[in-house]
Amino acid sequence: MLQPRCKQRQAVEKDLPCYERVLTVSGDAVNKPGNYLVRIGSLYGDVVEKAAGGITGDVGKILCGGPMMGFAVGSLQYPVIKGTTGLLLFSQNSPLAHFLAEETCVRCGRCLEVCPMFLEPTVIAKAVKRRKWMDAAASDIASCIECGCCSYNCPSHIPLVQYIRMGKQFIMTGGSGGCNPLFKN
Amino acid sequence: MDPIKTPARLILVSSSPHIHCGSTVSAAMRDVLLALVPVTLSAVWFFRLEAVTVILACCLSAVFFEALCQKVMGCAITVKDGSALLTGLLLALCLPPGLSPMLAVFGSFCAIVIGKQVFGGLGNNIFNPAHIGRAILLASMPQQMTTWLPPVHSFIDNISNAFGSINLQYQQQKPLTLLIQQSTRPLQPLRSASMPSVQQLLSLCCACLKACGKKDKRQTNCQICGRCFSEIFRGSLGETCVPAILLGGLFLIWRGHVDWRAYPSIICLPFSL
Repeated sequence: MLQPRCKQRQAVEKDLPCYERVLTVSGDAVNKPGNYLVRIGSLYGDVVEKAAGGITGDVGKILCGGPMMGFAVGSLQYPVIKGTTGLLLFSQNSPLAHFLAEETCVRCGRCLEVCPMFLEPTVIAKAVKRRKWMDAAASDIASCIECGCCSYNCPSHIPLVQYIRMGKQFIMTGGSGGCNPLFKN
Repeated sequence: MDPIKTPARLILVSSSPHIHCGSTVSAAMRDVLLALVPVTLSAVWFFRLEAVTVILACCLSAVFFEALCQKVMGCAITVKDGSALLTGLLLALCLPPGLSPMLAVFGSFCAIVIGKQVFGGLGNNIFNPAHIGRAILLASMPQQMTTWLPPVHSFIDNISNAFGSINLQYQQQKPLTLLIQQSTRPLQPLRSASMPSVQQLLSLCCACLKACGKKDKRQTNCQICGRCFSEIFRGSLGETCVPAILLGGLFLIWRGHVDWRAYPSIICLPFSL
């Protein structure tokens, strides 16, 4: 998101807006991974085809951003915006394209050890699972920065960040989940 | 007719984070099993058939009871993660050698079904299942659980002939009894009910060191401590070889499953109470 100094100087000296940014295109499904200067508004598909030399094989995962905090999308028909830092494409064989089933929490405590906000991710996720919004709020669910360190280290492959994010949405909409039809209360 | 084409796998749209460190519960169980290998081997070495029967009975029945219990409860059978095998091995190492296999199987049943599955399976148990099994066995069969067999003598004689420096002697009593009998000064318990201050703990450590430092008693104290490491006392299968236990503990610390600060703090706990 932060623009480099040269861009800031360009903005101040030449009175130019931010219309291009450096994008990292990487992953094992692109032919020429690298950092490319692209215009804001270009489609991901165009960036991959023209700059990164195209896709090698079957794509299994498309990430906007980084592998820890980036979000996955279902196609390449999205534009580059000012905040797009990276575009990662992974093939079907890559471990990122495999979704591992969630197992029971063994209370190992690794998520507590690595949380940068000193929270208890497993406690919050369990409260969200049981729909105890007050307990989740009491465990300080609002302080979670969704960095993903907890899920990264969980040996039971529990999607802790996903539970916490869902919990935040439920709490913000007063327990109803908002207008998302997939949330059944 | 054209063969049915399987649809291509779709693009996965999942929540962040999208990478994983690769740790699994099975890997953790495997590491603990590896850490217990030296102790198991030493138990088999010193007690031969009695150890093998107890260990096999406990491990196999633990796995069997977990599969049976999960099938009866209608849950997915998760024997593959190795936790039942680990519980069986831990229980076996807590039992005295020569325990009848039926009692070992009963202990496994108590450990797995009552100590673990009843609470909800892996991760939901309050107690250590192996010790629940041992506690139930001890309460119900105290006679069988406190008859300690001597180690196999032929092995001992061969080893003491081969390694003259290591004094592998078989002791009649448990090490704690020996220490109490031959102790120079009983440790005074801290009378105050509050947490001991650092100064009090330090003075207690100094008192222990002074007791060790008394010239006439130093040799016996050092000997007793040293003998804990080199001799084989009467005990359960896992108690007999201290270096093997230490090796397992160091392995677990190295692999990162145990914080090294846990061991000294547990050892210092009785001194501070």
